[in-house]
Amino acid sequence: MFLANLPRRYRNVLLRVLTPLLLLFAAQGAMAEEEVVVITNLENANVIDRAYVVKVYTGAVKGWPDGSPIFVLDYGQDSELRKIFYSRFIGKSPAAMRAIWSQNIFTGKAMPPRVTQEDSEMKRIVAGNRNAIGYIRASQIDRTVKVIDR
Amino acid sequence: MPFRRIAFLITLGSLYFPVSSHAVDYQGLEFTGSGFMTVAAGRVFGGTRDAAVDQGFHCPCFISDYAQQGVYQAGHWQAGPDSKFGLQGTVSSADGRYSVTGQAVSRGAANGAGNLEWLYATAELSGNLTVQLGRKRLPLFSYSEAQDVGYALPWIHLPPQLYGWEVVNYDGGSLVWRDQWAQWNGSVQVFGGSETRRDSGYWRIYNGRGSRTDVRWSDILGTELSISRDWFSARAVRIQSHTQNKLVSSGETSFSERKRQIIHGLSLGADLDNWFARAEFLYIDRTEDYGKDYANLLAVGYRHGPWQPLLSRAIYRQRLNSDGVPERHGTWSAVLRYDMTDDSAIKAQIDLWNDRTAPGFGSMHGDARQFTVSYDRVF
Repeated sequence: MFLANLPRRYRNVLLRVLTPLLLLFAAQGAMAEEEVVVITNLENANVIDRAYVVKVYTGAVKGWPDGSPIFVLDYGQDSELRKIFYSRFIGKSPAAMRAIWSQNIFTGKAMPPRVTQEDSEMKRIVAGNRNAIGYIRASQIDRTVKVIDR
Repeated sequence: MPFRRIAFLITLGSLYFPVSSHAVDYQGLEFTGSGFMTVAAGRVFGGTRDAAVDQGFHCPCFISDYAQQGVYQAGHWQAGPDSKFGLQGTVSSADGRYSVTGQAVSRGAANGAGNLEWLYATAELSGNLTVQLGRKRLPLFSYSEAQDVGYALPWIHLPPQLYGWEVVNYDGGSLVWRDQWAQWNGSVQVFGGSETRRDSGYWRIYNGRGSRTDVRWSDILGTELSISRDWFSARAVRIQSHTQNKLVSSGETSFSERKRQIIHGLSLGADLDNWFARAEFLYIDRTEDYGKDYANLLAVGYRHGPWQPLLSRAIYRQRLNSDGVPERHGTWSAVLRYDMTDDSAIKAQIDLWNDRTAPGFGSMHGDARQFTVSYDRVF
């Protein structure tokens, strides 16, 4: 109604400005609704909380609570899923994570997580390694892996 | 041009590693490559000098890195003392439990010459226990192991009063145990080995720019304890060894008598919201040689988006067995860091070095005012 009452010239200008903005907000909304879950192997009986996940992905701990070594999986730096995960689960910006891992990698304190390509590859590796930990889109969950944090 | 080699390596590195993350899988092994670089330029813009003990340097001088002979001299802009370029390669097993890592660093302070700083094998024996064998950095100080990686540090050059010693690496092994107790994270590292440093940069600063001194630390045995919880972290280290020197440029052909030293270090860190602070204390007992060394550092910084200002104060003082003139000095440093991207940053740093050494000290000394800018990147 508001647009209908506007002179045609102003209405066209408004539509040209608002349409891309609305599309942008819609895209951001879709990304914001993307649920990410942390997964491990079905045979892994360890129970860990969010704080433990943070320590794993910042290199502060290298083992599961039962003492077995953790095999950490991640996506490449350009991955949107990775950005969502680090923002929501770890609470660190990409720059902060880079600084933390620079210290870990170049000082021999920890090896960087093994990089995989897609949810399916992440699931395949986790399903085949009892000590693995990774994360995928919630929509990709199936019976081959176990969710330990969401 | 002395800086040509490092410039060539930086160009080469940029060509080979235009983006981050470089891993290749081959027959169950993963090969990863990464690197870091700092391009820095600085100038001494004031200070004092005593021409009689300049040791061949054109002073007033600012010592940015004792171990690598990183010295800014008066009169012109210099790019050498803090610029460096490092490449690291790792081969690891499919499950990541076993790996071999090598790291070579080319330094402007060494006219671009490269040096193998790290070469070690790692075995993750369990989730708590790690064994490493080979050539590593000696964990003398809190930031020792990251000292070459400018991007990981809030300074361009770490405060030289604390972060300057004659030996920084060792050949040997380490055993690290990590564990958790309630909300606390902790680790205990035991390490041992030896190091022979030919043509020590540290001793060129004291014995003369054209001199050559070889240094040997044998029977190195150390323990490092680290704990952290939420915003708090602490680290204590004790290292003992025997030390020997040989002033080759004066014709000495054998090392001096072995003398025992014990190094004690304590560092405390706080990281609360946008604020962070570091305190570090060092005490070295070299009574069998010349006396004792004391150094400490206090630093406070603040993170505001990509900006990170920092203010620090570092002090060094010496106590001698004899009636000689002990060395004493301190530096105020103000640093402003700006994170340009997720893997690069620029910094500007002002240092005010105040020499409190009494007249009669037999080596280079004096006040210095220094301005340095840098570009740091990891890849």
